[in-house]
Amino acid sequence: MSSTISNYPWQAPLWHDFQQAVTLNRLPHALLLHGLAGTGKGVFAKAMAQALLCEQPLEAMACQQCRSCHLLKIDHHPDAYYLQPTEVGKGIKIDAVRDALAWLALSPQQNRAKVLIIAPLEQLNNAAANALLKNLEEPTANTTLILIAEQPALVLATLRSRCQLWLMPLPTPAESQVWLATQGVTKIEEAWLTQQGPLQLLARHQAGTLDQQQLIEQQLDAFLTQKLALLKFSKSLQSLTTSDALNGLQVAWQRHITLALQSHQQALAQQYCEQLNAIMHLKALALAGANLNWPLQWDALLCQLKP
Amino acid sequence: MKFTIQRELLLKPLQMVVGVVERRQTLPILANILVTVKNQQLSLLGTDLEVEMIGRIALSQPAESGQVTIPAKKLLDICRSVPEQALVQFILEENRVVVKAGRSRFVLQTLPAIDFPFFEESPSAHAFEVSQGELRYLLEQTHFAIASQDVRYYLNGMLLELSEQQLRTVATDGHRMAMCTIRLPQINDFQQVIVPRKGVNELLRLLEANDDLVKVTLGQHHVRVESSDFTLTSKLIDGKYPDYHKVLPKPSNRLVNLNRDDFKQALSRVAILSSEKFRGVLIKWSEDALVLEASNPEHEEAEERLEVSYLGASLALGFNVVYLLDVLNSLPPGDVRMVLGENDNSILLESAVLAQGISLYVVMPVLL
Ligand SMILES: [Zn+2]
Repeated sequence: MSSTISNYPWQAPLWHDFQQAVTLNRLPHALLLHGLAGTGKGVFAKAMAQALLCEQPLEAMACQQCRSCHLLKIDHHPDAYYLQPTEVGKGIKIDAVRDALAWLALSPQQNRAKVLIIAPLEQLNNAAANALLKNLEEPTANTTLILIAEQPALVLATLRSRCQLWLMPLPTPAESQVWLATQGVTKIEEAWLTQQGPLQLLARHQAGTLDQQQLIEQQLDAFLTQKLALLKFSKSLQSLTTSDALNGLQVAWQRHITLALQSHQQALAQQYCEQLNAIMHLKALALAGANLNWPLQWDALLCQLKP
Repeated sequence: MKFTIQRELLLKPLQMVVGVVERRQTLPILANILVTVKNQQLSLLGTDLEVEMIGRIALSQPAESGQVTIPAKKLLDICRSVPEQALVQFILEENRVVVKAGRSRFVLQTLPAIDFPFFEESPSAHAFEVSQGELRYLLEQTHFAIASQDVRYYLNGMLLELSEQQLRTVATDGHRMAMCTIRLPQINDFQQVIVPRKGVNELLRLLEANDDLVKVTLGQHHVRVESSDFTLTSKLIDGKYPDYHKVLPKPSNRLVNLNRDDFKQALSRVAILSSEKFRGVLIKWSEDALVLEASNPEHEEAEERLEVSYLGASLALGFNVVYLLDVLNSLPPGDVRMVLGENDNSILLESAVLAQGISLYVVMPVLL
């Protein structure tokens, strides 16, 4: 087990599939790696690239010693290409896709393979996705495309249908808690771990925004019991980053659903589920880099969530 | 690493290598060149990841071996600015390099050589030797017809083809095709590679019109052109080049011979009044003359008449005048042969002076 992957025990079964596919020479030209935020799709893709580009891989496992492994580790590998937004949330531009396709048309610089990693796929607009389709139809030799998405349903269907779908599983809350403890993060509530992977929580812990989760939950309770005015809550959400606020709301709402189910309030749970969809819809728009008037969106969303 | 070299000896290879280093780097380290001293030889390597250039210089003064990467542009500026004939000394100290020349002293930051993404040698299939001049000629005669940013990515490069005793280049953008062939007795096998535009341009910058031999290696993934002073390596385009034989018009009686310069001048004159956007010129074939006509949206007109003998049926076809002039500028002086194809009305142009034209051009008609 390579050192990178063994750091993420929940990825072991999928890694095993990858090794099998490589060993049997059945790795698809394009695979869509999808799963919830924080499950480590990016590190998994990088580990795949390293294994595919290594000079002396053993059973599809990178040696971690060769020049190729070194270049990949420091993100200098000329045959691994990352196609991603230049600014977070800004979308992947068509010009960037054209550059990537021009790169794909050329032979590798080292003599093994080329790996193109696209993340997040939701940020690829239709024009850019269509440009990419051509390569999926007529793949160049020795090339693997790894497409990463949180919500594959948002990906252009024609694009999705040409990829093999690989699901990155979410570790159980207990597994996540154990893993987070090894990273020095404790005091994590189980409910937070049902909708996001531990890497996201670790990142928020490191960014010092984990306390926001508690804040959002307290404010949401206050809002639902009409102790906090809608506009005040909206203002508080605006002070956070969009993704932090949406994730926080989603996790908190998920907990309300669980509580309602536990107390056998089916109708209420049903209503919460519908409201969760509104949150998820907004999250999808944010993920796709939509240009929204956020103060207005928060007000509208909270109107829908209002008891 | 420690070495001393005269400014002039360093400057030429340094300029050559820095020329490859792209301004818009994807990685900071690509703004550096890899400097290696080994066995009294200095080598400088620069790359933009698509092509790689190595310049080599023998060191006469005793040197200490070593390897490091140094900011390319700054190093070039320093070497340019120190006095002529100055001795320039380089000493690597920890992760900085000290450059001394006369009373000047510069300290440059370095990045480790191990982090530098230089090309890996590609398993080679064929290698042959050819003079710089001949290789340059092959590229010069055809490079203008390479497509630019075409979605048919294999057209964005030049075909280099080895076949029995000959070396050939072909370029096409779908509207015209250029082909040039030279005899090379040492070649026995067949192989095709597509060299991207960037690699072709760098070779044209590098190769001189002389008889010095270069070694050309066609690897699985790269083409490498090597002399004692330099090595240029380029990636290849991954793909199959279209069958260019299909584009060549079949011999027919629709043939005229024209003096190259007369034809060129007549075309240049009518081109003045061709539409600026489409650059179209109408060519009319008749029994005793070839008439060239152009007009523009302002209803201005130009006409030229060239006496020829022509046995085929009368016909009028439009062509892009820029494409025709590109061809005439590449053909040698004297008469050119122009053959009209049977099926698609494309024209084939070649020298009528050489028994077998080594350069051959096809231009497709356009709707005017
Ligand atoms: Zn390795």
